[in-house]
Amino acid sequence: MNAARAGALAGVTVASGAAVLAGPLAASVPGGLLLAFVLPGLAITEAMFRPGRLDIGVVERLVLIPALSLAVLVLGGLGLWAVGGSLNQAGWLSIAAAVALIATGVAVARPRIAPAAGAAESATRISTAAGATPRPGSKWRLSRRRLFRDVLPLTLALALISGIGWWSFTDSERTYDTAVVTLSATPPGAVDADGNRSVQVTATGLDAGRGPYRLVLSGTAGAELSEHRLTPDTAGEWSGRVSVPGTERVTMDLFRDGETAAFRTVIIAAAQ
Amino acid sequence: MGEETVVIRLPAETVKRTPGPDDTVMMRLPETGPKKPPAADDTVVISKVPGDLKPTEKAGRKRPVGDDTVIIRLPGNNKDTGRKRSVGDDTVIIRLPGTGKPKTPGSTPRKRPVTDDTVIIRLPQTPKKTPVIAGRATVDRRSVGDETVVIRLPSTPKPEPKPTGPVDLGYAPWVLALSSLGVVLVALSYGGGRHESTWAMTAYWIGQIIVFTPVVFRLLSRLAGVAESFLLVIGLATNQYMLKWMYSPDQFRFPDELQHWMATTLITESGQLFRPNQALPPAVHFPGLAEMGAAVSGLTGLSVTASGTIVAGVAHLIFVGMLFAAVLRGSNSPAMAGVACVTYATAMHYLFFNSMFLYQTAALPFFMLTVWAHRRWRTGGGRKFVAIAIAGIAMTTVSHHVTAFALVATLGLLALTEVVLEKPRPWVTLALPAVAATLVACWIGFVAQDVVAYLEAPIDSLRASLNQMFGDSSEPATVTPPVPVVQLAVQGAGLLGLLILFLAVARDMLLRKDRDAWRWAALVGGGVFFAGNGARFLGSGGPEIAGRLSTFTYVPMSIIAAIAIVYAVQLIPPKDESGRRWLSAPPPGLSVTTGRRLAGQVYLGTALITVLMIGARTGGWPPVSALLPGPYLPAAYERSVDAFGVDAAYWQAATLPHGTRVGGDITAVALSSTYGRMDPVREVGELFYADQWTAEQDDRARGLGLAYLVVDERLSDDLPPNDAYFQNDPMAGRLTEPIPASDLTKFDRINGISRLYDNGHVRIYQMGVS
Repeated sequence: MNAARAGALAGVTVASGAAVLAGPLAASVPGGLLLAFVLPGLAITEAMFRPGRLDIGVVERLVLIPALSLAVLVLGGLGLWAVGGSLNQAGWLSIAAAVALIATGVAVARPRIAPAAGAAESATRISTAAGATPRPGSKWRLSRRRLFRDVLPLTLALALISGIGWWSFTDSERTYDTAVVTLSATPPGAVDADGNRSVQVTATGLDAGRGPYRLVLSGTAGAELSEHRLTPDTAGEWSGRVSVPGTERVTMDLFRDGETAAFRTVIIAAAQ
Repeated sequence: MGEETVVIRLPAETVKRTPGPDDTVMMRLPETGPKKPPAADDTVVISKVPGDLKPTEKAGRKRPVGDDTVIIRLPGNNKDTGRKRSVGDDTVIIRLPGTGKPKTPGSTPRKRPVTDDTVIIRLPQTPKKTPVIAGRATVDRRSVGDETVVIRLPSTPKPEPKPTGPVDLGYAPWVLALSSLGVVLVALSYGGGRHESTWAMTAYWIGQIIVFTPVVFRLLSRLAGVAESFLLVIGLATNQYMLKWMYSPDQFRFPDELQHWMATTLITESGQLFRPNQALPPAVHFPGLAEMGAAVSGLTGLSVTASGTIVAGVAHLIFVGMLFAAVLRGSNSPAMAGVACVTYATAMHYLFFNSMFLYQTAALPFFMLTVWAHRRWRTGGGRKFVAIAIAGIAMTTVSHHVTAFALVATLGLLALTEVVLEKPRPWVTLALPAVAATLVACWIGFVAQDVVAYLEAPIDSLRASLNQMFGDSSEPATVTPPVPVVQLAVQGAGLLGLLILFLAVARDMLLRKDRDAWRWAALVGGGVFFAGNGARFLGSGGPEIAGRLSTFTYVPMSIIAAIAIVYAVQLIPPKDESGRRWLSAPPPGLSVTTGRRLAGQVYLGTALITVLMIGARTGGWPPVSALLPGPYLPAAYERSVDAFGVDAAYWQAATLPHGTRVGGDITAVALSSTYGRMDPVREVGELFYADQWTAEQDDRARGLGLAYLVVDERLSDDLPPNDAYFQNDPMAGRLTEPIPASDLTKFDRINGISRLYDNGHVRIYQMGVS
């Protein structure tokens, strides 16, 4: 790997690390994705397989890069944990960036420590499956033909998939987004000196327009013990502490305004 | 080294016979190096239809694409000499005489006399009588008498490859654009399913076919080079992953995905590995996927759900890419690699279990990476590939137990076939399986000891099923619900097609006395695939076991199918001179069909692989009844996760001590153990099915250490599509009607039980004494 290429790789690694540490989500996402899936694997591949040698094909190189990057995270994570490190953002960043930078250094240093050029060349195998690696001089040019044959359809495919993906996400979220009205009680505490137990009762998802709500408590025999008027807050939530007799099985029914049938019920069994 | 020579020999009697499979031209390329792959890569048999025997067809009928076109791979030749070439592709396509106007001015077959069967192939820029130019194949000699064409290939050492042009993607971009339209259609069908539209299912199937079939068709045409094939394969994998993601794009809903969401969340919260995960205890000791998810979440700042979706997608693409790379290395044919990949895309679990956020998804790419690295090592790649293979083994071992076992078995099979078939015996090939076996044994022995007990359950289930079938077990047999006839027919047709291809390749290899260790390994793996399909009939868990097994055995089966399709292995061989059909010797080398035979094979192959895909969608996951997302269904996995269940789980997480033992139906325990952070109790079916709460149920609840029970009153609305409401359901396979509503409300009438949560559908009961 030549110095310019290595410098670029190291620079991107450092910039990605900075984006992860300090950047907003718009910067940390691309930076993090590069560190997770590209940079460590790219640096290792460069260190293992020198450019210009045809012992690895373009396809293989493309697949190896994310595979080795993930391997770095997993095996590096195990190593970091084994020495007592914490797998937080700094930990993951250290693993990915350190491996990328070290491997880049190895890639730069390797030609100097590699065997003589002639020996290396004689060991090179040109495989038809690997294909020829494009030389640095061969540039991809945007001709009109290429624009029509490659760029246009791929852009169309990308746009279609992105658009329908976004629509699908919002549609699923909208369908899922159902208002859930709940009535719940915490597990009752111990019976106090007066023979009562304290229960924290919470109602959520209340629509203020359907209120006021009534919470009616009745005992084992069905007799009404007490009634509470619930006024939900702006988030549609009400919470209060209720005292219930320890010896009775208490039913708490929640009623909407003007309705005679409870639409939510919790039951507190008698203490034994 | 001397020159490499190709000899094309035409059969003398072709003029007098009607065209048939024997009208072939054989080219045998000599080995160019000591470690060259076997001759299978270098031999091409060209089917040739004598143009002079078919004047009407030649004049009047438009020939299909690829008509009389032969693809010849010339080793080491990088000159752009063919009609169509790609970067990194050494395939040259030569149009044989009688096929009309050549499309590339540089490639010009010389006209021949009517009675002359000699083919002269003049490669572009090749002067008629010039010395051999390094790096270029030239037509050297024509001998009319023996109807032979000699093509002299460049002598070694080979020159430096010429600078290549930009990547030729061929038709792949347009094919993928068309495929993306299918993605749109399937996404709309999912939307229709959510809103219960009647047209949704039709749109779903049309969309699935549009996503898949054009790619298969293009790959089967064998005109795509490496770049185009790779783009097609990766594009298809991306589109299919989109189909999986768009089923439930806003959150994970499948229980296993939720369990791994939990495992990942534990790492992001604690920064530590091996934290107890009560949702799936064995996953604790296989942290590969969770580490990947936690790392991406930590580095990007995205949620665990978003990170998991990205990780699963990338792992899925790496797996497909590695499969492509491995087959490409083994066959030197982008068509083979592409067809093997699209065939594998018809595996039962490919679209869901193998691309979900599950630990197997993380292990599979490293499974293939190791196989590929092993191949590279054994074909002279050097020690660096051993290092990559060991890294792959380590990654597979720490990611998923079953995949690790499958890797040991696969490496063992590859090594054994090599040792058996090659002389002198390459004992060194046994090193990698030995390393893999040692690593896996050490990991399980020292770290993941609980996996042994975990895997005992399915083995016991299998044993019980075998007992029921062949033994004298008094256990009541579970009744597997009848599979619709159409579904059976589609799956059966696909399997039958694969079996025919498998048998044809097996016959071909046997009669050819094939000594290629990798092909034999693939054949043995294909045999295991068919044996594994027998597990389908072993009780209610049979289909799942067969499906999971096929994740691994379908790899060699796909390769065998690709060999059969791309190399046109004879399905019904012609009789030989002795009148033998099935024992007749196959033609030498590997044949490349042309003309109408090729077109027919493209159509038939596309149809077969499409049928396999439809079979996989109907027999895979999700089940047919839940192919589309939609309103709540009881115990229907993804279809059962809705706002009511999730809210109940969040209430548990906020109110109850973490790790409290909570029971419920399949969905309830999945949500409680993940979003709710509870310890799931799965064996609670008997408590639900009892119409009265008696001392027996009380004892059962106490025996299970059950603290809370989640009851969804919608269980009484419908039967579960998978024939069980609960894990280890005592009524599995025997349900004829939904649970009565009174069985679900009986908990309200039990004095010792409190109902602490109610959201209209889901209720949570505190068991025992308050």
